[in-house]
Amino acid sequence: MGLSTAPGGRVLEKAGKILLVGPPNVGKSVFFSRLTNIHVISSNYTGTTVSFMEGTYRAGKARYTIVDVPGTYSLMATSPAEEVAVSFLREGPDAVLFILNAADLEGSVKLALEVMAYQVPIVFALNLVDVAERKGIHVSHAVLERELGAPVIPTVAVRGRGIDALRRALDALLEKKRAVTSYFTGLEGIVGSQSALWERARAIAKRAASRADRRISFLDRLGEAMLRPWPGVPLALLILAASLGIVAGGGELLRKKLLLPLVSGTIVPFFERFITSLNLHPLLESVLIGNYGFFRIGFEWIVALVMPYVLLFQVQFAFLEDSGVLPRLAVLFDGIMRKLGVQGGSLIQMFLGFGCAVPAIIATRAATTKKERLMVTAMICFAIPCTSQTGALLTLLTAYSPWLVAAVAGVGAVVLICVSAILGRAIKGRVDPLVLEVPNLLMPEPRSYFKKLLARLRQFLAEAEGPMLIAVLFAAILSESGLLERVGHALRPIVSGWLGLPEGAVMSLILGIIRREMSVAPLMELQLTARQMFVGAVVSLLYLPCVSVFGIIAKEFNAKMAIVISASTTATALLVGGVLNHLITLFERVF
Amino acid sequence: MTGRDLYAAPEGRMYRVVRVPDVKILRSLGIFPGAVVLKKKRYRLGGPVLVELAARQIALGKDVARSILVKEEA
Repeated sequence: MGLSTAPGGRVLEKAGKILLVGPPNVGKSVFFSRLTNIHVISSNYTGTTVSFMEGTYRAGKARYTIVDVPGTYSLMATSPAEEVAVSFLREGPDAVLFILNAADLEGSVKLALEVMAYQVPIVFALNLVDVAERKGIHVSHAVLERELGAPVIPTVAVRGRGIDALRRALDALLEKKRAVTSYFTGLEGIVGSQSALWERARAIAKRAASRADRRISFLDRLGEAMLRPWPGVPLALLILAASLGIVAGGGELLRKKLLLPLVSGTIVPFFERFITSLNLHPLLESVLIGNYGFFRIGFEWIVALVMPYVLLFQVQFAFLEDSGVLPRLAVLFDGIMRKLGVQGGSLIQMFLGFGCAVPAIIATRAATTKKERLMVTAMICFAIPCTSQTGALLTLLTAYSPWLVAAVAGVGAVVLICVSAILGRAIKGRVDPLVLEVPNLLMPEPRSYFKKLLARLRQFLAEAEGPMLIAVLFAAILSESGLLERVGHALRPIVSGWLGLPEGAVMSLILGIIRREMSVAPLMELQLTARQMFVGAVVSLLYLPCVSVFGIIAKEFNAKMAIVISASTTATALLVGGVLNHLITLFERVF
Repeated sequence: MTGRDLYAAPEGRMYRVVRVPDVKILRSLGIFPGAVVLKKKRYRLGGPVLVELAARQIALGKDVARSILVKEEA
C-alpha cells in the first residue's frame, strides 16, 4: 500500500535510469540526496519487500531516474536485497554510479568487480576520503582509474566535495550513450568465486593505497569505546533511556503546550459549531461531536496523543540509524538476545517497536529466517508498548507513583522472557546467529537525514492513518449509540470480577482492539485505585495488538497468524491481569 | 590440517581461516579459507566475537565463531 511502485514507476515519467550502487555504510544516500531534487519517493521492488529510493537526475536537458539500490556486500543473491540489485543491473541501466569506500578499498573494489561483470557504463566515486586519511590510508584515484578502466572521482559527499566533478563525469558518460569504454575484461575467470574476487580486489587495493600517519578523531575513539562493554553498555543504556525520555517527555510537552490547546481550543469547537448548525438527527450528531464523538476523540487522540510521540520517535530513531549507533547496540546485546532465542540484530526491530509496532513488524523483514521474524513480531506484540502508549502509561502511572511504572515494566519483561522461551521451542526452524559489519560512527548528514525522515513519516501516515480513523469511528459509534453499555453489562463478570476494574474500563479493553494506546486513554478519565490502575495498565500493555498491527501481521504474514497472535495476547493479558488482581487483593487483605 | 575454533582462540592475535560454515554472507564479507583476520575481542555472557579484516570490523555471533576453524598466523 502507500507509495509502492514498480521500478521506473509511473510517478516519474519513463526516463533513462542511473543506478547508485555500493556496499552498505558507504554514504550512498548522501550522494542520492545531493544528486536529486526534492521530488524523491520510497518504493518497494515488485514482488519483494525490499524498499529503495527513486529520484530525478538532470544531465543538461536530459532527465534520468536515479535509483538508490539497496547496499549489498556481494551480487551472489544471498539475500532479497542482493537479488533486487542484480535484477536492476540486468535491466541494462544507462549508467551505474558506483561508490567506492576509500576507508575500505578492498571490500568496495571486490563488489565493483562483480558489478563491472555486467558490462554497464560505469563511473566511480571514491568516497570517505577524509575517513581514510584519518585512518592513515592514502588512496591514489589515478591508479584506481587505470586498474578499473573507468573514471574515479575522489569525494567527501557529506561536505559536497567532488560532487560537481562527479556530475561532469557522469554527464560525459551519459552523452557518449552506448560507447563502451575499455572495461576490466579479465573478469570472466573469477566472477563466480568470491575468494578469487577478493584476491584480485586485494591486489588492486595494495597498488592504489599507501600508508600515512593516523589521526584518530574523537568520533572514531567514541565509536571504539561504544564497542567495548565498558563504557559501551552504560552508554547504550543511556542512549536508549534518553531517546525514550525525549519521546515521552517531548511528546508530553508538545501535547500539553501545543496540540491539546490547539485541538480543544480551536479545532473541536469549530467542528462543534459547524455540526450543531446542521441540526442533524440527535444520534448522528452525538456520534459526530458527542463527548466520544468522531471529531472530538478523533482529533484529541490521533492529533494530540499519537502524532507527537510517533513524530519524535521517528526523528531520533532515524538519527540513531544513520549515526552507526544501532549496530553497536546489536553487538553489545547479542549475548542477552541470544539467550532470548533471537540475535543482536533483533534488538533494533524491538527498539523500533517502542516507536510503533507497525514499522517494527515491517522492519522484521530484515530477519534472515522465518522463525526469527515470527518470534520478534510476537515479542513486540506481547510486551513492547508503542510510543503513544508508553507516554500515556507514563502519565497515567506516574500520577500514582514511579514504582508503579517499574512494576508494570517488570511484568512486561517477565512476559517477554516467557514468550521467547515458549516460542523458541514451539516454532520449528532456526535463528541465524549475528553476522554484522560494524560501520564507522559518524554524524548523520542533515540533507539525507531529513529526506529519509520525510519519507519515513509519509510512509507511516500512509499505512497507519487509515486503521486509526476506522478505530475512532468504531469507538464513536460504539459509545454514542449506547452499545458500549450493553457490552459492558455482558462482559461485567470478566471485567469487574476477574480484573477488579469498573465497567467503564470495558471501553479501554474494547478500544484496545482498535489502537493499543486508545486502551490507556479512557483509563485516565476513570478515578481508579492504584491496584486497578496497575491491573488496567498491565492488561493494556499485554493486550491484543491494535487493528493496524493486526492488519500489518495479516499483510506481512497471513490472517491466521494475525488471529493466533491476537487471541494469545488477549488471553495472556486477561490471565495475567486477573492473577495479579487477585494476588494483590489477597496481599492487601493479609496486611 | 586441523585448526581451532575462532571462539576459543586467544584474543589480540592474527589467524588464518581454515574452514568456514555454510553461511553465505561470510564469503561476501571476505571471511573464507585463506583469509587472515585479527581477533580483536570476545564478549562475555555468550556474546559475539569481534574480528578486524582489512579496514572492516565484523561481529560474529558465538554460534558462527565456534564453527569457523582458524590457525594462528605466524
